[in-house]
Amino acid sequence: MTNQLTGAISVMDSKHSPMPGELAPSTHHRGPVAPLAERHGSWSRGAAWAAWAVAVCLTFAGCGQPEVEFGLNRLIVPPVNLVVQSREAQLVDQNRPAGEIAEELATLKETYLHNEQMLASALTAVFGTPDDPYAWPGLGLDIKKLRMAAGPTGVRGVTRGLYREHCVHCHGINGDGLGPTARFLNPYPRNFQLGVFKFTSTNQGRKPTTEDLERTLREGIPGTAMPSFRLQSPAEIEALVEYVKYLSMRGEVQNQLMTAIEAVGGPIDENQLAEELQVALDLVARSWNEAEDYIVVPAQRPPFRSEQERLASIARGKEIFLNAGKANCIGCHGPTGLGDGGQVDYDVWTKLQREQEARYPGLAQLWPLPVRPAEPRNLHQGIYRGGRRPVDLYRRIYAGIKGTPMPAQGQTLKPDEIWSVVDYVMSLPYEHEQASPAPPSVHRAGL
Amino acid sequence: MRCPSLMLVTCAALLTTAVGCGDSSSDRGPRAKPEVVQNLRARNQAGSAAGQSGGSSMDQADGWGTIRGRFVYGGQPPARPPLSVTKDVQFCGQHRVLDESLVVGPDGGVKNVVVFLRTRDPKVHESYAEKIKQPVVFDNRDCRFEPHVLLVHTSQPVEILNSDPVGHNTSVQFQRNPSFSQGVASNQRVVQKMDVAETLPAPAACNVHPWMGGWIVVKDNPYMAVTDENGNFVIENVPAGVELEFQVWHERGAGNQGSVDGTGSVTNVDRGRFKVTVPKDGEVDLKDITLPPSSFRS
Repeated sequence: MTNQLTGAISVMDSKHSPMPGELAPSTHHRGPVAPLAERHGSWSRGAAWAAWAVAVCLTFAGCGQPEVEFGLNRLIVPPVNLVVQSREAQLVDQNRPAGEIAEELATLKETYLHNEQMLASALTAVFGTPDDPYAWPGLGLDIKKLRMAAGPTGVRGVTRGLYREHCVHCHGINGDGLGPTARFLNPYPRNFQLGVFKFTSTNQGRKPTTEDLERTLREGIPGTAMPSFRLQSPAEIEALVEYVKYLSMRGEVQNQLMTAIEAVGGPIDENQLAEELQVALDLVARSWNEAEDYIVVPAQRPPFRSEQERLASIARGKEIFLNAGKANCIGCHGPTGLGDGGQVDYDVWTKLQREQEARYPGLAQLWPLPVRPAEPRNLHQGIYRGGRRPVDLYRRIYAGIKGTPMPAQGQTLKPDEIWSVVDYVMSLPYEHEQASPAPPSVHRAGL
Repeated sequence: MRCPSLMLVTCAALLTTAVGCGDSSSDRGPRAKPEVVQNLRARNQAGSAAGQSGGSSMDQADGWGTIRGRFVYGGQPPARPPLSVTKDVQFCGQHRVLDESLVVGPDGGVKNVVVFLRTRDPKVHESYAEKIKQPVVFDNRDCRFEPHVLLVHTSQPVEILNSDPVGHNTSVQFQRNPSFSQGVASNQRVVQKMDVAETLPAPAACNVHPWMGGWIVVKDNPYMAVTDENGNFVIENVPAGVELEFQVWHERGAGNQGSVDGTGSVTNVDRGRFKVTVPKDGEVDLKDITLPPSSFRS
C-alpha cells in the first residue's frame, strides 16, 4: 500500500513521467514522502495544487498503477518474526541458556533474511516484475503474450494490462487468489501458486494443457464467480493463459526453491542458488511442457440403440456408484448423490493454509481467507464446473479433480463402467421426472 | 494557512483509496538484489547456469561400513488417542485405529523417525544394485497405511495395495514428482513410479477415510532408514572413510522442515543434522539419542 502511494508521488517527483506505452523501469523508484511538505513552501500555491491534482488523478485512475510489485508467498515463506518466534518457543522449552538462545535466534534471523532476499532475487531474475515481465529461456513462455497481459491498463493503442483489467481483483497480483474481492466469493478464486488446476483434460498429477486453460477462460466456471471471457479476442485469451502459466510457474519455482534453500541450510550463496534454481526450473518446465502427452482420451462407445439400453447403463452406473468396495463414490457423495456422505476434508490449497497457520499462528493475519472445507458436489444440481460434456465428466472420474479429495478411478473402473457412471450422474438432475428424458448431452455431442 | 490542512485531508483520502485497492497481504517480503538478478540472468545466457558447489568428497571414500543408532523419547511418552472412524464404520470400526503421528515404544524408543543421507552423490555399494529395483508395497490395510512411512528409491516401483473390503484412495502430494490421488478398489494393486528424489517426505492420505495418514520418502540413493517400534535404525554399506552428513526427520518434528533436536553420547542432532565418519569394514553405533518433547509439535 505504501508502495502504491509513494509510487504515485514519485511519478510526480520524478523528472520524467512514463509516457504512454513506455515500459515502467524495472528498478524501483521509491520517492520519499517527507520532502513534499518541505518543498511546499517554496512552490507557488497554484503549482502545488496542480501537482496534487495530478497525483489524485493518477491514484484514482490507476489504483496503484505506477509501481506494482510481486511479493513472496507467505504460506511458503513466512515472515521472519514468525519463524524466529517458532524456534524460540522450542529452544525455551529445551531449557537452553538464554545467551545460547539469543545467539541462535540472531543467526537464524540473519540467515533467513538473507535467504529470503536471495529467493526474491532469483524470482525477479526469472520472472521480472508485474510491469516488466521476463521470459526466462527454457521455461517456454512467450514474452509478447506476457507483455500483453502484464503491466498497467488503459494505455491507448496498446494492448496490455489485460491481467490487471480482468483478473487481478480476484486472483491478486501474485496469482495467489488474494485479490480484494476474494473474501466475498464462494468458492474462493484459484490460487495459481501451487501450479494445480482442477479442471483439465490430463491425467492425475499432470498440468493442464493450454487448451484446458483457454477453455476455462472461454466458458467460465459455472456455479462459481469465474465468468466467461468469450468477449475477448482469441489473442487476448492466449495472452491471459500465458500469464496464468507464468504466475503458476513463479509460484512453483518459489515453493521448490524455498524448500531447497532451507534444506541446504545456512545462508545460501549465489552458486548454490543458481544450482538449486536450475533444478527447480527444469522440473517446472518439464511438467508444463509434457502436459499434452497425458491427455485422457476416453474409449469411444457407440450411441445407445434404444431407451432400454440407456436406462440399463444408468442402472449399472448407479450400482457402481453405490459400491463401497470399488470406487466408493457413495463415501463422499452419499447414497443419493446429494454430496451428503458426511465427509469433512480439504483441498490442497486449504490444507497448506491449515498446516502453516497451525505452525505459525500469526500467519492467519496475512492470509485473510477463512478456511472452508471442500464439499463433495451435490450431483442433482446439473451444474458441472469442469464442463458439462460427457467427456468432461468422464475425465473427472478417470483422472479425479486435481487438488481436491476427488480421486482418480481410471484404474479401478473399466472405460465402459466409467461411461455408465457418467450416464448415472448425468441422469441425477432429471431423476424425479417421470419419463426420465435423456439430457441433451447424453448423445455425446461434442466428443 | 488553510492550504496544508486541506492537503492533509486530500492526503488522507489518497491513502484510503490506495489502501482500498491494493492486495490484502501487507508483508510481501524483501526486494530483489539487482546484482544477483543480473548475475543469474547472465549465467543463464552464458549457458553455465549451475555453479559447482563444493566438489564431491567421495573420492576419498575407502571401503564400506555400517551405522546404527536408536532414538528415545526424553519424557513421559504421549498417549496415542484412538482416531475417530467416521466412514465405513462396519469394517474400519472393527480395528482400533490409533493415532500414529508419534509412536513411543515401551522402552521409550521412537518409531518412524526417518534418517537419510544429506551428502550428495554418494558412492553406492553393489549390494544395493538388485534391491533398488524390487517393488515396495504400500498397503491400505485395516483402514491405515502399512507401512506408515515408506522408503522408496527412484528405481523402485511402488505397489499400492488394498487389502481391505472397502474402497480406498491413496493420495500423495509430492513437490517434485507428479502428485497422485489414486482410487484403489478392494483387493486391487496399482503401480506408481517416482522418477525424481524428493527433498522431504511426502504426505499420503486417503480421502475416503480422512484419519488415514502416511508418508513416502523418495530418494535417489539407498542410504535411508526408518526406526522400528524400539526406535532402532541401521544403514548398511555406507561409504567409509569420509564424513557423511545425515538428516533426521519426524512427521511431528517441530524444527524447520520436520527436523528434530537430540542429544546423545556419541553425537548430538542439531536441527535435524549429524555428521559421522564410518571406519572401513567397521561400524559406528550412535547409541541412544534422546529427543526432548519440545522436538515434536503438539
